[in-house]
Amino acid sequence: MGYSVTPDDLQRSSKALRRSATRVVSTPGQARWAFGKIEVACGDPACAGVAAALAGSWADALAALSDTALGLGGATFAAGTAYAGADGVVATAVGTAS
Amino acid sequence: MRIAAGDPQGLWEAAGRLDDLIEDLRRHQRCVLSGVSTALARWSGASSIVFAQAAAGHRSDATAAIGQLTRATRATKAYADALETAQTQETTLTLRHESLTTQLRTVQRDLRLPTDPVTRADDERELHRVFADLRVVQRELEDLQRQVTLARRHYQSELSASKPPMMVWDKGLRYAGIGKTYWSLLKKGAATVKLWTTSRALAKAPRGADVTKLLAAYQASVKTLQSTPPWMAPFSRLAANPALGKLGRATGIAGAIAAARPGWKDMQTGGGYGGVRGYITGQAGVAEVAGVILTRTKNPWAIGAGGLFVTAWAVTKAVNRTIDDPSLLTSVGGVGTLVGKTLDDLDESGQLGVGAIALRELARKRVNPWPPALPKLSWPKPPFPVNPLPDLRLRCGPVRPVLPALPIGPIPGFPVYGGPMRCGPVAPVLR
Repeated sequence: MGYSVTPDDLQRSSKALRRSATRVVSTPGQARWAFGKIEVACGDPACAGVAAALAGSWADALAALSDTALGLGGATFAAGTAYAGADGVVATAVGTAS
Repeated sequence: MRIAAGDPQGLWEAAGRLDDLIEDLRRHQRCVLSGVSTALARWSGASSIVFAQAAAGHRSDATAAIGQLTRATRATKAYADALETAQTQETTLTLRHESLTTQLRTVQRDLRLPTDPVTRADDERELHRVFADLRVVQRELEDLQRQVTLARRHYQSELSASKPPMMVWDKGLRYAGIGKTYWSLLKKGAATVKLWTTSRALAKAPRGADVTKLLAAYQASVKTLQSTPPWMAPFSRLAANPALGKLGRATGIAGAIAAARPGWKDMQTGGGYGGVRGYITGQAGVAEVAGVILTRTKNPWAIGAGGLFVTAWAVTKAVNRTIDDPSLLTSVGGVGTLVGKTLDDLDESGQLGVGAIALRELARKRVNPWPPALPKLSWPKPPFPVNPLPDLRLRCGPVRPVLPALPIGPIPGFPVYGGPMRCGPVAPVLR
């Protein structure tokens, strides 16, 4: 089989992508915490108001981003699984499967 | 009250957390790039293209988010640094001020005691010196106050510009929608007025007069009014639904309260400024609240006046921003920021659509009564039915037969509207 990318590569890659996507899931909380801290620490009501608004909007925006990341991770995983399955079938058919 | 109030340590912590977040996003970006390259190495077909597009869009969103978060982090670090320096300076200056005040009290007490002229002269010299030193310290404290205010305004401006990129895109779409509404209102409002005036002129025209130009204008207006795409008809019927109108009015009240809030805040706080600037900003806040109330009336002139009041408030805020940070006027980016923030102020107080509402009300006044009462025709009855003009309240009325109201037959060279008339005149904007 002359694959430049093996099923193992693909599965490893999909795992890494899913792990990374899971890390991105925590980013809305981090952004909310950081801007909340700025709201308390900046010492100016106008800055505090802007920071409070940003806390909400960044949390929403990063939540949307992490949803897409999870979707991509899922798609790569599905592709990896199907690819590995197809590779296994082909390998069995040509008698190279162990 | 402290001049440099705030917690620099807390700001450094927040900046550190934002740095971690940015690093997480960068790592994720690299991972997406590697994962997608691996997946696409042997994957072809339509679904692989969709996957590649989704991944590219995701990476682009992440890049934009990283850029905006980096801007917020940089601004937070700079502000924390400025606040730390200012707090150190303030502590030093406050201690010096307290020491000089104690010296002053001592010298004043000495001066009240009976003593020889030489000692008294020394005490007076000392008094002058302490006064001079106190003035210097007070000037330095005032300078510090100015620097802190400037740093705060700059930080606020940077933070405001660090909105998520997705929001920037939404805002662009919103402004484009508002622009489209204006264009549509201008075009269709002008056509409605033209239709109204030409139909009256046609009805009044003496028998045998050359009405070719009037008819051309009439037909052109009809064509413009009929240009609404058919797919919009269901939306327009929905918009004209009475139940939706009641809902619109209820949300309009809630919207008015939200729109008046920034002005109300300025009324209470003077925008955070003292002295003349605080007074002017407070009065501008009164104008904003009054403007929001006026724009909720039905009178186009009152709506226009309300729009001007709110614009005056937005201009006051822009002037305040420029005084706080004169560097805004020295670069194209700065001017863009200033214009963008002024537009945001106007949008926040619900004023970007006010011109459209005023135009609609003006058109309504101009074409009152609608449909125009056609005077007794001086011409023979036309060989086609004279239809009533469409209801102004509906963008798209029921399907009507043949031609719109014309006291004369078709003119060669002009299109004849023999088909069903799908759409009526000017689009309503529900409150």
